[in-house]
Amino acid sequence: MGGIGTVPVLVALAIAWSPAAWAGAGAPGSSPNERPRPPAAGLPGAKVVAARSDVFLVTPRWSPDGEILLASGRFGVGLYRVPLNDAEELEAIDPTARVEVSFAPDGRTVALHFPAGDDDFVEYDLETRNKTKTSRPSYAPRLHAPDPASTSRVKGGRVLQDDGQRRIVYERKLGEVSLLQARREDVLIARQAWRVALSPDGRWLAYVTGSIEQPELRVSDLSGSDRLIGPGAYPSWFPDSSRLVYSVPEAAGTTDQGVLDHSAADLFVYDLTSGTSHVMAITPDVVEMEPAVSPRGDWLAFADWRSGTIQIAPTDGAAEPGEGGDE
Amino acid sequence: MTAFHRFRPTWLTLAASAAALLLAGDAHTQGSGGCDCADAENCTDRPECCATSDDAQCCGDQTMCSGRANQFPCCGSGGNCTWYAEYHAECVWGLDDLGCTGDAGDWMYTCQQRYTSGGAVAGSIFVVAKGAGFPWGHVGAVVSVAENGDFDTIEQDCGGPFGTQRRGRLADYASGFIHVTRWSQYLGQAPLDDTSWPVSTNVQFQMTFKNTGSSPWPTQYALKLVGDPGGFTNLPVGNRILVGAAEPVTVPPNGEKTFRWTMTTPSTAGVAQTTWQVVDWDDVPLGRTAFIRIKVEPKWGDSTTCSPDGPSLWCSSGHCKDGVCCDTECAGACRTCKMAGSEGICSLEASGYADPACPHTALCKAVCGASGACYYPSLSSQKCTGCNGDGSTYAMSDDSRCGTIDCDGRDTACRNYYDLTANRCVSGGPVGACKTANSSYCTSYANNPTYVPCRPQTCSNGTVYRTDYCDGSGNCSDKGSYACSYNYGCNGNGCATTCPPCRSGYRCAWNYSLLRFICTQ
Repeated sequence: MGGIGTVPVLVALAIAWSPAAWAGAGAPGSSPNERPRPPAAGLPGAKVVAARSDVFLVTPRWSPDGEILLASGRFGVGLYRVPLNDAEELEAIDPTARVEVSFAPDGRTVALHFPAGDDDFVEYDLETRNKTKTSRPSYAPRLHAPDPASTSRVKGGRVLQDDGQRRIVYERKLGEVSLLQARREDVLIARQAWRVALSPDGRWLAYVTGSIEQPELRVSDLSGSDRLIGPGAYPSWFPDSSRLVYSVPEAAGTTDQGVLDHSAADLFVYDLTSGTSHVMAITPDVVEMEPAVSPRGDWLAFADWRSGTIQIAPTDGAAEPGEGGDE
Repeated sequence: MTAFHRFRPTWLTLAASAAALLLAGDAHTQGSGGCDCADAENCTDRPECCATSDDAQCCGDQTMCSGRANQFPCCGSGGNCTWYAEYHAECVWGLDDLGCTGDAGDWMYTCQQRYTSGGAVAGSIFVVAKGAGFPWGHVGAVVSVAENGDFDTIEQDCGGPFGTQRRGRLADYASGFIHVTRWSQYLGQAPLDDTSWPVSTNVQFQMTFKNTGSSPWPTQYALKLVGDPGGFTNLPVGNRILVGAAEPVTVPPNGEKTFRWTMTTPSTAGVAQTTWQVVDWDDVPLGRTAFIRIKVEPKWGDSTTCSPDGPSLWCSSGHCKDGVCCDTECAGACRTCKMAGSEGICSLEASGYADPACPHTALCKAVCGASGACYYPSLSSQKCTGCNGDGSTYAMSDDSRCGTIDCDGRDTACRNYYDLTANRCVSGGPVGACKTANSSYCTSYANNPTYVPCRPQTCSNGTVYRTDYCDGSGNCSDKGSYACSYNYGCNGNGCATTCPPCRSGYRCAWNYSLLRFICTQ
């Protein structure tokens, strides 16, 4: 898929929400069901790019160059390459494994991190389809592993950013994010955060707290100043770090099997500058979750948790999927 | 997503709902969800009570719901992930003994039979391996799962914060999951691995699993084909066999279920393997995969030795006859697939061959005729007995071997019985015999005409009995008698013409008037 080549202009429905209007100031527990919703309207140009009756697809991920889109199978099991044009078919990279995926900078190789241990990796060449067992490649998330005997409060975690001067570490067990620099340790996020997304400019942390069933989205800067956006999850930053897309699921029931069963979910855009959210699409029949903005910001991929499909839409609402000029 | 319409409140959702109450409070003072956690009884059966500062000793209470001691210690934080996971498995999910030991990260090994690195499943214990940030690993109870594998937990942490926490976790957070409420254990299969089967053949398979979870398997759970069908065709509908496929019964905890299905082996020889797994109605795996592997070999050509006779999986033609694969079914007697020089081709037996396949008895032994039919020669040992087509016997009406049945012994002076030259056998019954000579079977005769004397004239004591003649009806007609003159006695068959002799009581004397001797008293 070629890039659109234009500065993305997000075509959002002209309805703006302030966090306070959503949830009421200081009322983070308000249900998204309680806020007024605009009339139903789909995401302009949205197109299903991966739909297989035998594979329920979730969790789209763009390659660094935006040319490749990967997705997982249901419950995070399996890894697939999503076709971005009609000539391709869904490719099963590994239909049975539950892996964490890291793209190499060139976007042509991915590291599949198997969950058995910190260094259980397989590199997969997306062009040759060769697999090579390896230890943690350099482009995979780095681990912060200080001497256990150290007095540091941060005993371990994943490095979200390290510029040599300071290091941002996400401690997954407690869900805390800390800023380590020189001899100083600052806790940026003290709440249990289970989805942390550092903005491309490295200045902002979008993160989700609460349960998967009732998530809340927050944004923090590196000084620890924190904003409650409202109910929401799965933030994905635009390249300019000024906005992020996120999902707002309706309250979920639970099946007999303990599977969260969302009646609906819609996509919103939060603008850091204005501090407001705009709804992108109100679609009762589509449970839009896990939005992923392409690296150039021209495309938005998301998973429909009702149909198990991956859909993409141009963020300017004009282009047709598969079309597009170039830079 | 089919699960979308299946929301029903269950213990799982109720547990999740109860735990959700924790979210209402601050992480360090999470409430008791309305229960009186100061009450020690509540503390033992309500895990949420452990989250309050007033009853940190709940965690220290080592007694489980079954009365069994919780083997894991309580940390100063008022919680310990291992303590709580074992507690939750037993007191909330109802599994008597999870059986995991060691540090949290060790559980993936000590609970290996229930451990899988697959996706998150509600009703399982997540395990984080030891590693960076997790010096002892970590465990907790998975109460619900999102479509992408992210999951909500209830857990404790030896390092704090205080008490029980409800947390959201990403799909890739855990190394794996120890299954508690829903899990299966493979017990056995048929056919056994590496047994040989012919190509393109319907084979019945079965696999038996035990429900090692704490909740029953409803009829909609299934054994599902995982991955490649291995060249098999005619797979079960939807590649799965429902728990309730044969009969609408659920499988209780510790119960066993044998799944049965039929598939057609690949059309080419080689090793064929299929992998199966018990799944719920959302295809969530409920156990480890188990495979069935068979050797698939070419079918045998005609004339190849086979056993037993009859329909054969192995013979290309599908027929085994006379110990060899045969081009046709070659059914019936007097047909062979083992004719010298024509092995594997159905041929007629040589005429006269005593084919045991012909119906026979000890008495009736058949041979093959020229047309391939069973033929029963006359019985040499048993006159008047013939063989039916099924080898049974019947009594013949006539048999030349009986010869002429003599009936002369029944003749009289006025009746002449004919000898039997037909219908010479005793009829009735399965076995016959020649009729007896001069017996009541002699029934045909001719009567002598009336001129035929039937009793000669006789004389006795001066009475002459005249010659008798047949009456034409087979009887001898009495012609009467007369007394000799002068009371003479008999002379031969007639009367004497003088005396003596005289009749008894008479004497011979001269009669002067008659001038002859006469007999007087």
